[in-house]
Amino acid sequence: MLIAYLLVGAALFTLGLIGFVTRRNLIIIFLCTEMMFQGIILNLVALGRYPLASAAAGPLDGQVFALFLIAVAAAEAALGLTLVVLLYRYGRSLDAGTLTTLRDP
Amino acid sequence: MTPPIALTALLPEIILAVGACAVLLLGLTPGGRRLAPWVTLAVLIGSAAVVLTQRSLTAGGSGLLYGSLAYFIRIAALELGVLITLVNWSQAAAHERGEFLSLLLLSLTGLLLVGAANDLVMLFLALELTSIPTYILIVMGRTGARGAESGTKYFYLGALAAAIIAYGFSFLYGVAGTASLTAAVSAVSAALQQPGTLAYGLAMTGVVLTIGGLLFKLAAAPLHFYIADVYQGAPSPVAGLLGFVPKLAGLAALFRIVLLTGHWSAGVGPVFGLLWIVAVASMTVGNVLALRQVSIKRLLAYSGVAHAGYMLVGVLAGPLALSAESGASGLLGNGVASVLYYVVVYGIANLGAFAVLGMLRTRTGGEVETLRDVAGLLRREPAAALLLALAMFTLMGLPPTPGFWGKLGLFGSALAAARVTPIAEHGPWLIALVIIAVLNSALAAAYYLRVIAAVLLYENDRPAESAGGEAPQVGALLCGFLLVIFAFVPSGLLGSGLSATAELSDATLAATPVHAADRTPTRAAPAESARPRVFPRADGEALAVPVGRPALE
Repeated sequence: MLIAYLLVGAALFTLGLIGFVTRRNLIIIFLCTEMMFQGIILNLVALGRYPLASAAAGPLDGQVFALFLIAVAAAEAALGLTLVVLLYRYGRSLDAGTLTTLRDP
Repeated sequence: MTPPIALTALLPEIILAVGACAVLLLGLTPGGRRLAPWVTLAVLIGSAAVVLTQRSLTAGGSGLLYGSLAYFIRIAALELGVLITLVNWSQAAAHERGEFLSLLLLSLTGLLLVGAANDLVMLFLALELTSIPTYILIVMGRTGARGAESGTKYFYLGALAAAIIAYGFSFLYGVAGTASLTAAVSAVSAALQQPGTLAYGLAMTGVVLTIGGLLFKLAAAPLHFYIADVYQGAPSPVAGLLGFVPKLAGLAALFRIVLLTGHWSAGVGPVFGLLWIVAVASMTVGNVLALRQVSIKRLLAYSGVAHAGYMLVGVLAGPLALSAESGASGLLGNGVASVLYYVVVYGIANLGAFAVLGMLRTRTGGEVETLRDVAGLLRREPAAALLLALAMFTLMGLPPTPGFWGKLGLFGSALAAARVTPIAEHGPWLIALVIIAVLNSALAAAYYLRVIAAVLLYENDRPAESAGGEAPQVGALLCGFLLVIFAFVPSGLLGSGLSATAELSDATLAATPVHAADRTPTRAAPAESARPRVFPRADGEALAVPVGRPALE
């Protein structure tokens, strides 16, 4: 049972990572990091619910971690959207490919 | 469930957090804004005073563990915090000064908590509390579109790194069954010694992901590509902060994770190969890229990548080489103490260099950035020129400067560790690493000397001139003063670095009593005999745990 959950979590995380690397729109990229966080949360909850045989019994730590991750992801979302709005005011574009003012000569 | 910690132990962090709120409120009125930097300074000094009175504090609970390592990180963070405040005194626009300084205090609060975190949840939250304010500080520093671009890049890659670290933590939690790091050591290091099991796969994935994410905080290759853009777009005084706060946070977290894998005590796990490759890549890539730069900010950014590589040499060596076996003593035998010393010295030198850049303006009023801008500085602003040169000599590691003592400690401890079990298994690789690091240090001298030559020797008909207030000048002077002090009286900081690692060495020894026992003066310890010593411990550990854990026979 645990393996199935871990695989779904890994799939969510990997899809998010692929999206992070390949997409150009800043908001979509941000949504991809959110998807990665969902994968992590699923991982934590699954490992908390179905502990490994060798693991010590600390039943609620995983669930608590998941709740904190949701809060952190919300804080990051607030900051990310602020930055996106700011950047749009300066450049009128949300294309990550236009962020090339700063680069190696 | 650990019992809660006494609130008095948390007093320094509470002072910082309450101070952050107070400074935020002060920013609402014009009179308050003038007061805000002074209050920030008072909060930092007050918090440091409380830390000093709690010098011998050892307390644990609520996911925190206060001991010698936390003490060192608290003092280092607050000391650098004072310098950072001085250098950033009037960096933000007047109406944003309260927010700016408040975020600075919050970031330092996070750094203090990283040093004390003893729980995966607490460690993750503390890392985020350290990082998130820095994204905003970059944007707030009056650099317009460039600052926004720099802050956005840093934020996105920081969010990615946070996700990778959290994913790694979730696997480590799964293997240990508890978020407490002290409780997780035996489970994780035992799992890493049983290839083929599910626990092994999860532990391996967790360790690799976590270390990978932390390398981002350290700006080590291959996760360094963002750093030059971030430094270039950030205002110089804020870039000085970025060289210290995330690096110390990343290193403190890395110590905890490496301790978790049992690398220092048993020499197993993926840590050695992973960090070896990253160290070599960081040094080489950082130095080669720095050679090509004309912007001093980008040059310092890539030099920071190389310095992250040097620091990893000390992390690989670990705290254990200090023993009768190797005959090494003091800093030369203790990799982690050397890293702590080095990160403070690097932080001060880097901050000093950026402070000088930040308090200068070109004749057209622009920000001083390129080598051409600082050419001929000696004639126009001799104090600034000498400070910049001193910072560069320190980063280069020229003998009397503290940068030299730091490098000596890092490389010396690696050579000592190459003869000490269990790391001796990788001895030849460690020696190769030191040779690569020394060659890299020589290579790095090329670009540092270019800056020094531009500042001291070249002529410029339109040299940069000093602008801005007195506080940044005081901050820059203090950086230079501290570098001189550490150069001629290195023992103070070295000693505190050494005592800070007592905790890690104790924990390592406690995890493997076997090793402590068979430390004989005969230092011949072949690799084959190191292995079996480890396995009985893992089995004994498994038998000792009563609940839900079958004996591994």
